[in-house]
Amino acid sequence: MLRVILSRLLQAIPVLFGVSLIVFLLLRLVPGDPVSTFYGFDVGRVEDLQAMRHQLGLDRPMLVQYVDFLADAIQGDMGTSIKTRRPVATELVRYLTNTAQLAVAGMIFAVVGGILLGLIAAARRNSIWDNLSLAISLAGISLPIFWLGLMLVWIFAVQLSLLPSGGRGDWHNLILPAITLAAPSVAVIARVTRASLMEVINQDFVRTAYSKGLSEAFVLLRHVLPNGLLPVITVTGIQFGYLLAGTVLTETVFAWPGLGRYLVDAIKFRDYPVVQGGVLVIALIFVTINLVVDVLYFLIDPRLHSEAAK
Amino acid sequence: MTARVKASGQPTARPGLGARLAEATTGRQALGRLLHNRMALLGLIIIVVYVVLAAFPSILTQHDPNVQNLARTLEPPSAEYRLGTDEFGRDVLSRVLHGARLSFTIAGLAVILGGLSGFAIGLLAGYFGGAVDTVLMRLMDVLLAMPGILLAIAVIAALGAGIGNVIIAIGIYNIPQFARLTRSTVLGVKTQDFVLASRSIGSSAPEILVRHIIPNAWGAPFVFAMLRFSTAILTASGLSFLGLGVSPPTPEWGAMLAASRGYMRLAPHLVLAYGLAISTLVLGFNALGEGLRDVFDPRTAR
Repeated sequence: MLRVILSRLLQAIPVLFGVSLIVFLLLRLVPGDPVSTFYGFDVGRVEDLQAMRHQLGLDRPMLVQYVDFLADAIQGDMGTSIKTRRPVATELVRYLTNTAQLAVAGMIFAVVGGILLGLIAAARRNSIWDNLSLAISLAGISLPIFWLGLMLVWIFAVQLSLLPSGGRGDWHNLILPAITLAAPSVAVIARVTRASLMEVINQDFVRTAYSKGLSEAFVLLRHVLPNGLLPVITVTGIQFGYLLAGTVLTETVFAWPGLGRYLVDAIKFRDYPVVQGGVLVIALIFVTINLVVDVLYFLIDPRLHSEAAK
Repeated sequence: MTARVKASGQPTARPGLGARLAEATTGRQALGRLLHNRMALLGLIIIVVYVVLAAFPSILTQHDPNVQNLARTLEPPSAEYRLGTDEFGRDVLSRVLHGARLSFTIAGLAVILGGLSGFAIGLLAGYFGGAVDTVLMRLMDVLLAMPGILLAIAVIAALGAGIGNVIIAIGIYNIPQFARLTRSTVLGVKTQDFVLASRSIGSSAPEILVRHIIPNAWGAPFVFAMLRFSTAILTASGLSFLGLGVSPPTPEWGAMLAASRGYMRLAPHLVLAYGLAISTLVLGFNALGEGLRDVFDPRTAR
């Protein structure tokens, strides 16, 4: 048991190492210099550029820069933003808090909505509810979330004046972005839930439960759902990663001051330390979530225990 | 054996995707079943309509997508401009159709680029195994550690915006998916008798790969390529929406959507037209994908 968890952990380390190397190399090997971008075209003094390069350590050999970058990153030091001159780690934590808020709200919508839609579709197979659930799912994966966000703003903020169109504030500001962010995940979770529950619904113990005279709601919630939840947990874990990626678009639509928008701005500005730190942090979160899902899966499914014991 | 099968949650009696593919002995049979699937048919019709209109925009509009008419900006749909005009007085319908052309080009090239690279990587990893497999697949794990559109954004961060770089970014983003699928297909093929027989008479590795493995392993990645179009289109327009992809005045759906945001109160038809254009095409590909799954994997069939 502990061995399984440990081996998963060990597998994650080279992946993160690789991500850091790729991110580092990508941004260094390509033409385009952050220092000249920062100064723009009006300041042409070569000495100034050199001095700033030196100050930022960009004139050192690549390998030295990378080892330095990695050693600092492990200690939680991601360097200084070229644009704001503030420590990247501090800024990342601030933006990450906002993004986490959005992502968690989105995940709640996604899980509740997805399981509900999938449960209804599986319980009423081939009915109008099943078809409706399919239609919602297809729409969820087909509508670009940036457009869905704009349409929700147009309907609920511009036309009906019910909810704010963007920015941060109380929970009202969270509703539209969270729904937007959750839409594709609702669709995927609903489809997986339906497929998984349909296998369970046809099994003998469900028929037995019905023959005992139990109500349908009771059978669905107490017998069917718990036994069909394994694939749902896996897919939910994966969806959390996509949800994180989706925050980039959602935050831009709703002017939400989160990590994704911060990252996009940093890319446009060629703020290397911020881009590196941002991508690294998101990859770290994604890998951690996958790890947790793996372990969770192992803990929940007793059949895997005997596998590991062999 | 039994324990393994149980652990994966797949009862032994049910045939997998591979078996169903083999059962539909001819391509014509599979196609016939696909055409009988309402979902797949709907998807196919949508895609064909888009292809025809993207190829011949003059069927619906004679206007040039780039000619401005500042005297007639932000007009609602009319007989002359069927989807109205944008903030520079350009014909929206024409820009939507030329946007379709661009989306097909970007998505097509990106899927081909990512598909072929991923296929090659999966082929080598699966066939040679050992250290080659470990190194290549760990590399794929690294790419997969950046979820969704984020990997494409990271590539754009390095290469900069522009049509070519969007194609490369989405191509790279597709590589690990194709590599994994191809690898697992190759693992199934390489232990078959005809491969072992070929090896036993002393065929070289390139010979076996070209004559035996590739012809038997390209089917699943090929079908998968069809399914990747929807994600490629969404990612491309998403990048442009963020200002990290194709920039105005090129008629790109995401870029036009971003530009028309500011006119949502004055001229909602702009946001509506571009958004519906993307959604409908992506829906077409997703419906086709859903149909394909039903045809080849009847466990979840309706």
